[in-house]
Amino acid sequence: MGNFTDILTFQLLNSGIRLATPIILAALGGALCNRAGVLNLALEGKMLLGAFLAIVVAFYVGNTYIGIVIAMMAGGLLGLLFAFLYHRYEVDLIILAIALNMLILELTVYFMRVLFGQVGSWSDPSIQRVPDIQIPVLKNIPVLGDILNGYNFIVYFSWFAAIALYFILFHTKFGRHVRAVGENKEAAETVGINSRRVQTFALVISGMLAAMGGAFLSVGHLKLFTRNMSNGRGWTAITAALFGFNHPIATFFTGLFFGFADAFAVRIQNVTDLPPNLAQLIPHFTTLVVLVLVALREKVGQMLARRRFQTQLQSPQTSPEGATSPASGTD
Amino acid sequence: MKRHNLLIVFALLVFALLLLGCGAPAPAEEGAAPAEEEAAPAEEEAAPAEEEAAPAEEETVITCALITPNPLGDRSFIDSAARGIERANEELPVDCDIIETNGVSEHEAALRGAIQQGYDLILGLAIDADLLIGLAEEYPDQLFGAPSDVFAEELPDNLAAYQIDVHESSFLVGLVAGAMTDTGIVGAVVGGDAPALNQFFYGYKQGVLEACPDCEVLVSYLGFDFSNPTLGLESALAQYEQGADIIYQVAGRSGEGVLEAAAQTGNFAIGVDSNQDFIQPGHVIVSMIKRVDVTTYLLIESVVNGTFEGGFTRLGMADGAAGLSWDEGSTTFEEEGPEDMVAKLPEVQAMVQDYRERILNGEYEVCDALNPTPVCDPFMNE
Repeated sequence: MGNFTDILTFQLLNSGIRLATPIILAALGGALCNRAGVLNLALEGKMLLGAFLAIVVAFYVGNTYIGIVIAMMAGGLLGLLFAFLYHRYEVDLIILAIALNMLILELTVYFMRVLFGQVGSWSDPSIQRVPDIQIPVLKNIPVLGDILNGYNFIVYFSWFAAIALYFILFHTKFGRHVRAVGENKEAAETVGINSRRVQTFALVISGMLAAMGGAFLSVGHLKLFTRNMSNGRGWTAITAALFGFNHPIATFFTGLFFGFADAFAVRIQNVTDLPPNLAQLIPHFTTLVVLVLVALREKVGQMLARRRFQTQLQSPQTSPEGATSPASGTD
Repeated sequence: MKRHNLLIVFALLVFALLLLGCGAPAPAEEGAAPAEEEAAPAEEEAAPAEEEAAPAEEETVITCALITPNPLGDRSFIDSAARGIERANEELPVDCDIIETNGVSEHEAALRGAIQQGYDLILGLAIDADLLIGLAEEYPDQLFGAPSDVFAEELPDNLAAYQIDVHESSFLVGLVAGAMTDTGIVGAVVGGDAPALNQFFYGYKQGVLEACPDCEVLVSYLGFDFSNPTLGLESALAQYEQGADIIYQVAGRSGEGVLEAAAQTGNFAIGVDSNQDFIQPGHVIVSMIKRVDVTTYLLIESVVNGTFEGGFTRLGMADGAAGLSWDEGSTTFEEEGPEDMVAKLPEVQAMVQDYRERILNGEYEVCDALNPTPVCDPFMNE
C-alpha cells in the first residue's frame, strides 16, 4: 500500500471536477431560484429528465449536442410550467416539485421500456460522448494545464455559468430586481418590479441548468442512462446552494467541494489501510463539518450586524451603510 | 382559486402514483402491456404476457411468481433469474410471473400480495432472509424459494434456499486477469465490504496472485451503492490511473461505469453475474457467470416433480451454477479485442481449464469468504 500523499494528484482534481459538474450546474440554478424567492426542489427531477432526453435525442438524431440542447429546452419548459402553475393557480411549489420528481423518475423508466425494452439501464454503441476539449495554449502550461485542460464543454460551461450568474445578479439592474423580489416580493412590486417575470426567468434558467447537469451524467461523463441516474445529486445541489449562501461563486466552490470529497473517498481506499466503510464516510463527515462552519459564520455575521446597528444607534449622524434596503436598489 | 390549485396537484400526484404502481403486483400489466407492442422482443417481456392467461385454471399447471429485489434490466443477476423463469415457462407445465419491486421498501408488500394471489410457489430473489423466513412461518402451507443470496442456516420446511458459491469461478477470472495483465497491477470494484461480496473478491485475488505472484491487486468498495454508474466509472478511472489494466467489477449497475471506464481509457474489464462481454465489445475479456437462472429453474422443477424440500443448498462451479462466459461460447473478446491480448487467450484458457479440473478434483482449494478456511488467512487480515 502506498503513501497517503500519493492520492494528491492532478487526477484527483480532474476526477473531482468531473464529479462536481452536474452538482454545480444544478446548484447554480437552485441558487438563482432562491435569490428570486422561489424554492426549487424539483432540481432532481429536472436533472433526470435532462439525462434521459439528452441521450434519447442523441440516439435518434445522431448528434449529442442537439440532444443536450433539447434536454435544456425541456428543462426550461418545465421551469416555465412551474412558473405558470405557481403564478396562475398559486400551486404550492414544494408539493409540485415532489410530484414532479416522482413523476419523472417513473416516466423515464416507462419510456425506456417502451422505446428500448430496457428497464434498468440502456445505451447504444452509436451514441457519441461529448468530446473532451484540448485548449491550445493552456494545455502546455505545466500545472494549470493539468488541472484546467481536457474536459468537455459542459464542464467549462459550468464555470462560465457561475461567473455569468454572478455578474447578472450583482452587477446588472435585472439582477438587483431578482434579489429584491427574493428579499421581499410585495415591496419589490410596490416599486414597479414585475415579480412574475423575474421568478419565471429564474425558474426557466434553473430548469435549463439542472437539465444540462443531467445531460452531463448521461452523455458527458458516461454514455448510458440508468434508472434514477441523478441518484440524489439534485438534492445535493440544493444543499450546495444553501452552503454557498446562494452566491454563484460560493455555490460553485461548494459544489466543487462535494465533488472533491467524492473523488477523495474513491481514491483513499487504494493508498491507505483505512477501512473502506470509514473512507466512504469522508464526504458525509466533511459535509457535517462544513455545515457547522456555515452555521457559525451565520451566527458571527448576525452578531457583527447587531453590533454595527448598535454603534449606528449611538451615532445617528453617520449615514447607514451596508444595509441597502430592497426598495433603494431599484433605481 | 383554491380548488383549481388542489385539483392540479391532485391530478399530478395521481398520475405519478399510477406510474409508481407499475412496480406493484396488481397493475403490473398496465406498464408492461404497451411495451410488448412496440419494443423489440426482449426476453423480459415474456413473463408479463402470460399474466393475462388465467392462472391455476388447468389442474396440471403449477403457478409461481418471482419477486425481484430491484427492477429488471440490471443485465446481471436479476435478468439471469428472469431467464430461468422464461425457461421454466417454456419447458415445464408451469405459469410463472415476474413481480418487480423498486427496492427493499416494497419487498414485503410484494411478497404478501403474491401470497394473496395464491401462487403455488413464491420465489424471493435476494430478499432479506428474516423477512422470507418470517413469512414462511406465518404461512406454513405456502411454498417459498430463494434462488440465491439468502444467508441463514436454519430454514423452515416450506422454504428452499440456494446459495451459489462464486469463489471458485471468481478464482478462474482472477487467473485470467493475472495472466493477461501487462502492468502487473489489476483491480476490482466491489459493491460493498461484506462477506457475500468478498467471496467474489478474495477468490479473484487468489487467482490473480496464483497466476502472477508479484502482481498488485487494488480494490475499491462502493459503500453498497449498486445503482451509481458515475461512481463506478470514477473508481475504475482511479485504478487505471494507478496503473491497473484489468478490473473485475462486482457492483451491479454501478459496474456498468467500470466497463465504460475500460472503454474510455482503452483498458480491460471483467464482467459479473451475466455474460457482459458484449456491453463494451473488445474491452470485456470475460464474465464470471452466476447461474441464478439454473437455481430458479431447479426450484420450479422441484415443485413440478413433487420433490420440493425445504432447506439450504449450496451450489457452485461443480454443479454448473457458476462459471465463465467462455463456457457458454462467448467469443466477443476473441473477435473484437486487440491482437496482442487475443494472442494470449489460448494459453490462458488452457491454464483456466487446468485449474478448473484441479479445483473440481479437490486438489486445489480456493478461499471462500463466507466459510473462511486457513486458505483465506492472507486475505482476511487486511
